[in-house]
Amino acid sequence: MQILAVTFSLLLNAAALGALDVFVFSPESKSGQTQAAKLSVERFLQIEGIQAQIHFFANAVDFERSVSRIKPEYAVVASYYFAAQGREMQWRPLLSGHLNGDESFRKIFMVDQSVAKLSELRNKPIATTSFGPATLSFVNQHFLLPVGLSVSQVRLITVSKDVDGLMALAIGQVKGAIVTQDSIERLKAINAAAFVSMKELRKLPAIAHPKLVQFPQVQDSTKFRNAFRKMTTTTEGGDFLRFLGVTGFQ
Amino acid sequence: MRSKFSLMNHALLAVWLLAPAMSRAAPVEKKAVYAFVTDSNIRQFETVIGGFSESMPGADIRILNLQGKGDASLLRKFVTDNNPSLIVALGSISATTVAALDTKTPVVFGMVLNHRRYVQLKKNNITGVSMEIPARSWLIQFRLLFPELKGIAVPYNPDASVEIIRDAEAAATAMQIRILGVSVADPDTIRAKLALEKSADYNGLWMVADFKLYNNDSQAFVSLLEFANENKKPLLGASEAFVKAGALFSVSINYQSLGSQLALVARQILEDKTAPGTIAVSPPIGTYTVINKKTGRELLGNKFREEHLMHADKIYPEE
Repeated sequence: MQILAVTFSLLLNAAALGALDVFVFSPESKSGQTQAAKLSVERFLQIEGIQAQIHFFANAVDFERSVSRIKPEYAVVASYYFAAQGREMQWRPLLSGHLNGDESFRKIFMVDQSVAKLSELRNKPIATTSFGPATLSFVNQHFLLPVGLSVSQVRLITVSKDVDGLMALAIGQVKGAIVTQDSIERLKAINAAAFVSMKELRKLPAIAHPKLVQFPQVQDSTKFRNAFRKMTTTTEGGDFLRFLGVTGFQ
Repeated sequence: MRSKFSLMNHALLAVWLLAPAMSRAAPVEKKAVYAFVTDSNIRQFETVIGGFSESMPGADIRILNLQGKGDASLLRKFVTDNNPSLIVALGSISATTVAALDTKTPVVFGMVLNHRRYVQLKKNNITGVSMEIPARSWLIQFRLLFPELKGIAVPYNPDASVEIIRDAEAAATAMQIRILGVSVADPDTIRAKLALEKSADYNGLWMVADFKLYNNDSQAFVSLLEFANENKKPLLGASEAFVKAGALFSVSINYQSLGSQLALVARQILEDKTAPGTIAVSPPIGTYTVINKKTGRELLGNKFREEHLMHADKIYPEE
């Protein structure tokens, strides 16, 4: 019995050795959906004839430590992380995530009607979706500094969905909310009255969706890239795309 | 390399020169200590503390787990040892034990179901975030998922949930949604009572957290789910467990956000010097939405828009 178990374990290890390692680091993705996302993309790749092990990371430190230990072939990474680490990691970008064709998204800074100047937001609560452990630095760099504020000047409250931030703004629980245009339109369509007490302060700079990259040791990425390009929200792999907040890779 | 050291030397020199002036201008303030007191060690408490830390990086957090007992002497020792600037009490045992402690240390409570029934929490040094999701949040998320929503039948026990129905009616009026309260005193009659209503008057069902109606001794949820499926009416479940069992979706409190919201209240107290008693207990801002995609596809067919899954915090079945 023991011999059988050892043999089985060796076989499993051998299979794993042949599999590609794909790292995923996208802090803004929905953490509650990691398991479904992992199964979904592994199954999708299997259908495409690719054996892969997907590893999810919640922070950059673990990601970087594991890169030197596991030496993955590919990674799906947040665009800002690609911008920061792409050169050092010698990544070659293969594809960009997109939402219905758009490779980037833009957030809107919505504020209470009473706010006339940015300085009035000092020490006031602002709702934003969470970007994981990197929330404060990410929001500071991408959303607050471009409008002349900093994370130390406002009080951030993190939510998982834009609609929560908008509703909190509508009833005065926060003074500002950083949300997508899409969420504004969705809520306006069903509850226009919620917008009476708020206004758009500023459109924020565009942020690209996550990217698929290859590590330098990979020789030929054609098959892998083509497989990723075929993934849609209605096929196997859909949960992985939803986890990333995109509808495909192009 | 040399220039880096040279730069460092200049920086050190500047700090050395400025230090006396800085210490004169701003006396060093004692770093705030946040004492978290929890009822037990369940994952949700940890998530709340994680959300708090995320919003207040570097905060000095000390934790006491009361392990289900309102042990006042243990709490007193913990407070004496740590001398906290503020106590965050998570759970009703913690909140009531902390409330009995003293009236000086500011207290913010969270994760206390129906906090209004605890008179001990009505003190000048205490405020908190309630557990009750406002009815408007449920209705908005229901309509986002199902824009055709016109009316919702809500079975309820008249001795337990009249208040929820009243709140729902008030919130629904603004959204032109009809709330059809269906009074059910005996859980076994839920199906029969629903069948008495005109089907055209509502196209959604709402299972409120009514423990007299839905409990281990009753089959009310099973009956409600069967009724929902047979009549093709999407069901808003009382929690994630019911979505896993087949309800279309649920909206509950987001514990990570709750931690962030508690940090916000803590800042109002410690930085703005607002007396806790003057800060109203507020409803939770963050919600946690769980959707059953299989139910959605079966019940709504083409009307089930897959893009809604993008906004869910969790999706069933997990496969």
